Amino acid sequence: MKKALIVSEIVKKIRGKEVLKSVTFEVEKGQLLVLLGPPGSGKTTLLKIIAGLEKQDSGSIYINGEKVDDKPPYERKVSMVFETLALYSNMTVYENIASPMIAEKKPREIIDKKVKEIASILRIEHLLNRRADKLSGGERQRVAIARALAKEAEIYLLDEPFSNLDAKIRYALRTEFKKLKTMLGKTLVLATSDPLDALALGDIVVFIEKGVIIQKTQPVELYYKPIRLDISRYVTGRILNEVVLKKKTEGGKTIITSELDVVISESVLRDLQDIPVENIILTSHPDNTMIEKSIENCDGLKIRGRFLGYEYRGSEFLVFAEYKNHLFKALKYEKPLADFNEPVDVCIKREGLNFYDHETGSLLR
Amino acid sequence: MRDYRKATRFFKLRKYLKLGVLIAIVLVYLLPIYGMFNLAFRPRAEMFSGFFVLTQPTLENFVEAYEYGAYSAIVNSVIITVGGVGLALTLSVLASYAFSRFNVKGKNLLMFYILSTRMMPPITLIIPIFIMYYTIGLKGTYLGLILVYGMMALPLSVWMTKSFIDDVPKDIDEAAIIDGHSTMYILFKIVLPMVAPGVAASAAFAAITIWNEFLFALLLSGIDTKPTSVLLSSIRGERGFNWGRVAAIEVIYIIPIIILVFWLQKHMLRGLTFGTVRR
Repeated sequence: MKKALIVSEIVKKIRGKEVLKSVTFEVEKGQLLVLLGPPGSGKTTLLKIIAGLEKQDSGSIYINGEKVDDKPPYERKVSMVFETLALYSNMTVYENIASPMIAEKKPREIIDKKVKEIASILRIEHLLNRRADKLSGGERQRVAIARALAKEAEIYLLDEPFSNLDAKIRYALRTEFKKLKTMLGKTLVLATSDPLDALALGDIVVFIEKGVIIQKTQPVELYYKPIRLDISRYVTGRILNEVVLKKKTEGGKTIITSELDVVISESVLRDLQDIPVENIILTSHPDNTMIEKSIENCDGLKIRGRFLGYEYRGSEFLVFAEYKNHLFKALKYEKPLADFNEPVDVCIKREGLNFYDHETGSLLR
Repeated sequence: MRDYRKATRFFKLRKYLKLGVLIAIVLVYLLPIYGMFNLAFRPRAEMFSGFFVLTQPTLENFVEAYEYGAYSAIVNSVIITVGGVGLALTLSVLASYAFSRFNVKGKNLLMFYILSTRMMPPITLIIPIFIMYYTIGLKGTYLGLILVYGMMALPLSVWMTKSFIDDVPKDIDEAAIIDGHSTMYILFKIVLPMVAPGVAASAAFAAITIWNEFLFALLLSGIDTKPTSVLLSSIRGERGFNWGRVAAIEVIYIIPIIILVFWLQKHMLRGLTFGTVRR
């Protein structure tokens, strides 16, 4: 099957600094690939290179199997939603959406039909005669997406399409966008610095940092099995549980120590035996962690801590416990019954444990 | 409580003092204008009977101004100003878009050169321009005056328009490029309407410069193309100076500029502060 997009060994220098270092990936037809990375990681530059707005120093871009390096943007069959949205504020919503078709010199009736059709999909028909500078944040976002869709393209590029929106509108638009993506079946490349966008929308997620692709994987794997500790921290945010262990071998015997007085189950000890590194960080997500007044059988790491409280999140509770200034988090579906500062057991289950090298941050197991 | 009253009294006093100073400054500026209007509507017989009071207002000075050719001078001023502003704006919009958006080699040097032409005393150029115009037959023509004024207003127009275009995100142009629009379409249909208030301010400054100019007009205009500034300098009466007529011509001369400034004051203020606020 022909790939919709091939990005091959793209290198780009800006003012002598290499912002993209041999970036390579492919996107299948109809797939939504998310470029995830912190601000300044080269996502926007990469999208602009794909669109033809910037020229790479080396490497090639193929769209539908055709090399497009020497083609101008309008001949590349790409469309783009900019982070700033780039709406033509002096024009109406109708004129904004019609813009790519006006450039293509399409007949008036066809333009009119398509603008109305796209406006109806994005539920902005009532805004068609309004000037673009008289719209709310969410409406502006919809118009920008509508204008991008009005162009018949092979690849649709979206640069931080949900940034600068409040959480509620962001959530609503994300859900709508997912529906739209399934409905239209287009090939999309979305750049974002928000892991939630990546996890919620991506068929494939490419994690990019300082111009280098670190991991290309499916969202679930990126969340549960990132290949580097910093990715795990970035994707999970502040809710990752971490325990540092030291491994020593004395007289043929392996001794595991930790400043946290952890009780380690036999199975985890066996896992640790195989790991050829002395300083290890074990991580786990709150959904693989329990915080209870007392836990008898814990297959994993068990720590006796103190109950700190919880955050109610609508359908679940994020429970907090602390031990020696280390904060542990667990997801729970019933209201926690412990009192503040009451001793509790924290059990980090083996099944969700990731083992990282403390020195390099790379995934060991 | 006493301290509070004392403080309130102090703030009130300060407020009135500020107001008083402001009124005094405004009066200093308005008084000559008042004098001009007063003289323009005053009968010749009462020309020197008290400055402030106007007992019998009359339009006779305006009729005399008409007979003296003031209205054709105003028309000349309008033609030269509109032409000069049009030329300066057309060139400055194209140049400032290029300066703002394209990576032209030596861009900063060129921008500085454009500005430096503004710093040059105009009198140093008047003789070469006069000889050149005389030789090629542009002296005494509208075109000659429009060209010289267009060039005179160009540097400030380029700098101002560029600052406004710089404020339009480059993403807008890029979005239009992806849509498939040409550079001229992007400039004239998308970017220019967005910076219209800025261009209007730049036009207003250019118009004021050209409308008020005297030196080039004196040497380069002819009998049929004489603008108001030149006409005013050449007024002489048969029986001495006719102050009323001079004032009437001044009133006619000043009104278009007052209207322009009131109409565009908001944008002009923004134009005066361009480059000082980063957005």
